[in-house]
Amino acid sequence: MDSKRIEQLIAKYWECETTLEEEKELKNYFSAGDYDAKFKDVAPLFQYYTNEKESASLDGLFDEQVLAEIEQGVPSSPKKGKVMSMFTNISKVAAVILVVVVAGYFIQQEIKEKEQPYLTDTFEDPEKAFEETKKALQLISKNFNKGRKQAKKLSTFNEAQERVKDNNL
Amino acid sequence: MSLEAFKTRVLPTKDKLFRFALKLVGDADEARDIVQEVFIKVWNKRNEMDELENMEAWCMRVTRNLSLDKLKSKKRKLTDSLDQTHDISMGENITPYRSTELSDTMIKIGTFISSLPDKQKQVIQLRDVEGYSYQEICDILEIDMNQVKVNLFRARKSVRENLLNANAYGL
Repeated sequence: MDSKRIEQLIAKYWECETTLEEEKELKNYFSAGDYDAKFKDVAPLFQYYTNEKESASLDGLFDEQVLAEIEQGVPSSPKKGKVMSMFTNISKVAAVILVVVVAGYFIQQEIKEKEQPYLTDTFEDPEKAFEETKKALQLISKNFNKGRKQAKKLSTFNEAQERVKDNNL
Repeated sequence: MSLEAFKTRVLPTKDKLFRFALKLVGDADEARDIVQEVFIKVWNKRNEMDELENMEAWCMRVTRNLSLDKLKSKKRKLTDSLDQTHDISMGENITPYRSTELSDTMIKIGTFISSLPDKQKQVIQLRDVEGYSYQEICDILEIDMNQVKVNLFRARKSVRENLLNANAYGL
């Protein structure tokens, strides 16, 4: 190939004015091997590009894997992550509900305990209640009578005092 | 799109996608997974695929986005500095087998190109290695024509300077 043309193309290449075809021409020229000695500075660059294009590739095994995956029609990994996040969300909601329910139960319990002394009777059977009241009243009257006997003794003192007063007068 | 069309039109692009993903993530296994994911995406959307003007460019764009996502999550996991990940990727890319094939200067060019800023590196990979047109590069990288040209110009300029230095001083 004409080395003058290559020189022009390289100058255009540095200015970014080459077309894709011209760039291909350059790569082909340098990868052929027998280039003009004055281009030895830039030759490695174009050889590098050509090399790089062949550097890495995927084997036939990859095709098989992709096709197998496609036929299954299951996009595997990303969905799993979503299921996990759903579960955590649900468990969060469940935990909140659990806390509310437990708290509610205890509050109810508390309220019941407070209300009990006012609301419930100690006796269910009215007759029994009557007997108990009678007993309680008898106890009171017994003690009251005891107190009255003591008070009678006091009144004798009073009488005696009165008499002494009358005699002195 | 039928399975036949998929085999003839989509599967042959696998090497291009793989190389691009490899350049971005720097790990062959991960790049392979990315390409597989892209193809499954294409298959799942096969009904919309026929309406696309340039399916290959679309595939490249998806590959790029997935690779960048992977890189992001990786960075979060490992909290590696950028320089370190670069070094790792270079180490894996050049196997002893390959390095014997390549001359010293070409290895230098390789390290130099991979140390360019991301946009420039991607543009030069797409244009000079894979041979995409400017319009296709616009589509793939989702930037406008001017940015493509500016990035390519800067990338080539740095490459040229680097080449001149290498030849003049053996740097």
